[in-house]
Amino acid sequence: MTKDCGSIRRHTGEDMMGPSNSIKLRKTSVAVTVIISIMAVTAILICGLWVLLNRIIHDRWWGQLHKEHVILADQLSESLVLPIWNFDNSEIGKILEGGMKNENIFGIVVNTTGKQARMYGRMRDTQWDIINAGQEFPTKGLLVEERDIRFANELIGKVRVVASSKFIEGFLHQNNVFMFSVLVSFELILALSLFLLLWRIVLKPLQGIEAYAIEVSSGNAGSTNIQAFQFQGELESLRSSIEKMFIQLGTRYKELQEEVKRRTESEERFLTIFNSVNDAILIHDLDTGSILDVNQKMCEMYGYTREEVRSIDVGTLSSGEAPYTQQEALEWIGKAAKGNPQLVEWRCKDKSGRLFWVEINMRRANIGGIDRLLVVVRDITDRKTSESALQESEERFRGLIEKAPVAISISRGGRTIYVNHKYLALYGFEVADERVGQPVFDEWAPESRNDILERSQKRARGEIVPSTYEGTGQRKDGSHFPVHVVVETVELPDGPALMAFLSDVTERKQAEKALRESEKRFRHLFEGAVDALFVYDQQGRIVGVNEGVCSSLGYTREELLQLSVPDVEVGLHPADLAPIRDRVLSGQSVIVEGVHRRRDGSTFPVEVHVALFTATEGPLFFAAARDITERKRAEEELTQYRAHLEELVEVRTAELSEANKKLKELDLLKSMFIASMSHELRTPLNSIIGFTGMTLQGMSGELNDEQKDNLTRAYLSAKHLLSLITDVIDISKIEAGRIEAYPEGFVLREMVNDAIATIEPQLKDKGLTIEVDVPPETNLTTDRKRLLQCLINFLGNAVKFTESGGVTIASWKADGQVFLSVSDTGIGIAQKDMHRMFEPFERLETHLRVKTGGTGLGLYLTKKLAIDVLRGDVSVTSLEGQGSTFTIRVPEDIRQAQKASIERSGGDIV
Amino acid sequence: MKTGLVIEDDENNMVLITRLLEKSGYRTLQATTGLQGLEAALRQKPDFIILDIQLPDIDGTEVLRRIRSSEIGDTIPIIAMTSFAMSGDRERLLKAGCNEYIEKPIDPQRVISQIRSVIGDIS
Repeated sequence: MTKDCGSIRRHTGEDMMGPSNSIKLRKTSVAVTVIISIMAVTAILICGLWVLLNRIIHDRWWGQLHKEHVILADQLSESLVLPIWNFDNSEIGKILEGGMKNENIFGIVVNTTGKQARMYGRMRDTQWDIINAGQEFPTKGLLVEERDIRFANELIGKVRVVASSKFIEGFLHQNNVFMFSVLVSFELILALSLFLLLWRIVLKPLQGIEAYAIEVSSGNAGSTNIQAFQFQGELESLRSSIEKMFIQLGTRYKELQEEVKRRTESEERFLTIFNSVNDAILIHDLDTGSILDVNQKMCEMYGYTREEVRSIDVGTLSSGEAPYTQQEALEWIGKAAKGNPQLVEWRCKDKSGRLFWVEINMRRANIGGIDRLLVVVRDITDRKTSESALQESEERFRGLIEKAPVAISISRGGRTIYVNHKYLALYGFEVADERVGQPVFDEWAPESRNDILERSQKRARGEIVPSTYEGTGQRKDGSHFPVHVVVETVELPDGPALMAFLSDVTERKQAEKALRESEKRFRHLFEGAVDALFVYDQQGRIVGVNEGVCSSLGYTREELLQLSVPDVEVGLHPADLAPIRDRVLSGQSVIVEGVHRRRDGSTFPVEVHVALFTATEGPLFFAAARDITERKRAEEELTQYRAHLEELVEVRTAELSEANKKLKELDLLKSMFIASMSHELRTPLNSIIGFTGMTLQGMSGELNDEQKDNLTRAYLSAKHLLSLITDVIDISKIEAGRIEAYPEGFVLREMVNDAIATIEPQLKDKGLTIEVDVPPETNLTTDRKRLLQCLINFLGNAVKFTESGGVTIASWKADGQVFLSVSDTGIGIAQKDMHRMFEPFERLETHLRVKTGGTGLGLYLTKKLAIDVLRGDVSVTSLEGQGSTFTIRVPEDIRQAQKASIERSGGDIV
Repeated sequence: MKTGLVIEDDENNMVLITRLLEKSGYRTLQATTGLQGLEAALRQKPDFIILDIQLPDIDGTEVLRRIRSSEIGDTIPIIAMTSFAMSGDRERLLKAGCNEYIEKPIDPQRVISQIRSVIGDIS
């Protein structure tokens, strides 16, 4: 049934034709059978009747023929007596002719006996009159009636009347043809009328039922109304029962169709799930454990094709390392086969030999009516690796919360689910279990519980609840303490929860209380002070006064709070208030004398202490004003006594300041003089050096040795004089503050090389070695020219006072400073002379004195340059007779040193 | 033979420089003030200029600036000469547009080699 319906559903077009054709055939054959049967029966009946009738007619006709035949033969035998006797042939002919009038008489033959035996015959169709005797007359099949013709008992002849049934037969034949045509016509009419009758009462209703059946079978029942057909008799009951059946069938068919659809979908869905599910699924034989079927995912996971899988065992799919062996696997399968579902983690191996972790779920299942083992395999390699990471992360976070320096509790549904260590300490619990699972309510004192209830109700209604709350907490021992709590909603893996950060605010509360008391005390002090105390803001608006102000000025407190400082203070010009304000703002306490004006316009002198008072809303000024009317009067008296004295002092001061001024002018003059002299002095010296140099270099012709020596002395003296002048000018410029550093970035090593180049000739003359220990990567930003000048001065000194050995230049960095030192193996410096090394014109008493040149200003200038221009310093260490080390220190970047210095001096100015 | 214009107010220095140049095979033009020097430079179109920075009328740097902004100014080599010997002078003058910088007191041979390298005269 199911199959048929299915095929109908699938091949609707074909089946629409099939049944209808077969029904038509069957219908046709039934009608034909019925019609032919009826026709045959009627034909047989009619034929039978006809044969019977024909027989009767035939018999009657034959009887009549025979009667006529006999009568004719009798008549002829009497009537022919005379003619024969008389040999009257014509009469015989006439009589014969007369006998032939009867149609049934075929012929008449008369044989005469005697001597003149003759035969006279008359035959229909054969025109002969007299037949020779002996001529046989064909009588076969004919009726012959023979009579003796007697005349007076003497036989004279014989007459044979031959009668033929031909006419009767012809008539009967004609009759038969007629009857046959009648029969055929009758049968045709009968067939037609039968068909019409059948069509009307059977076929047409049957067609209706058939169409209805087709519709029902094709699922379109309803468009044909079977009741529209006219039925009669049994057909009517047939129709109603068919209709009932069809209705039943239609309902059943629809149900079946739906069932089939549902089952097909279910099957497809199952197949889709089976193949698209992300887990590998294997179906095992319950007894042997062999693999019967697998899904697509299993093939992907293990790398086998479906066909391959059927030929391998579970051992091949396992890693093989104990306990992941075939034997173990079969044991598990055995357990599951007994009806106990198994969940195991398993180490698997795929076709390529890769090992991976899976979770296997095995259970017995009825598949297609047979009990099988259903195995679901899930790759958990990722989970395995992330499991440990997750666990670690969770532990870390738990550890963080656990060790958090604030009490934390997590609650859900009004019950605490977690508290940390700090919480336990805060509430006096020993272990978390004492608290976990208890209502959150318990951590609050009764006075705060209403608030907590309200908050949780609001939260439940979805209203916004402030995340912070302050209330009274209740410890395990029932004691109370103020609590500040911050509540946040957190998403935990098992759902949202409330996380509360609780802190004990006892200390803060106490501090607040202390502050309030302190404020109260100060308020008393403020109000009770004898002096008039003002508080005003940066715009001069009065924001606070004590009672002293009201009583001394005659204003009410409210009136005063509408006023500004200039309304009260009339002794100071408003412009003078600004510097006072700035000084106070810088942190100084200022005492000024001023004049205050009362409400009634009268004024009085005051001494005011102004100090800065930092309030939460910004800096305010606190002014304590004291009426100094009395003091002023006393002072005035004193002033009068002092006036005379002051006059004297003034005169002196004027004289002194005059002298001071002159001194300053002289100093300036000196600086200007030196500065302008620098050019004037050097120009002629430059000429001397230039010309002698040119001559010495042989540009004006060859010189003899004496000339050369003379000129060399002049040349060197001029150079010495120039350097002396230059040094003096430099020093005076430094002292006048007219030398500024020109910072540039350079590599120290290169500058050192430049310095060595200038001193090289002297080194060579004395045969001294030079060693350089300067890192090549040292860069610095400073006045290169001045630093070079210092280094050359050091080097010049070192070479000057060293007779043997060598000079070492070293450099190092420390703390943003660059140190550059020049060490020699020279005469060294005595301890007592060390402090004078950097003084001007100090030429130490040495045995080398005569031989050494120099201005006596070199080290002094170096120190000046190092400190005032390069913003560094110089130092010296020495051992007499062993050598000296001169060191200059400069900042790595002079610009930063300048900036810092400007800021510092700027601060001082302010 | 190339011609050098020497702008220098001090007579001795003028003699020193011109003599040095002539002995080294250059012709010389002389100017003792900034304006004279400027006029000579524009009219005579020398091959190079030796310019003292301290001049009585207009400052050497101003002369330098005017020459540089004139028609001959783009390419003519100018050697500045000064006895200021202050830090930063060299950079300031090179920035102002001179090609070389000589400090007094001069070293005759060094000056000649400096001039030669500036005007590209290898001989």
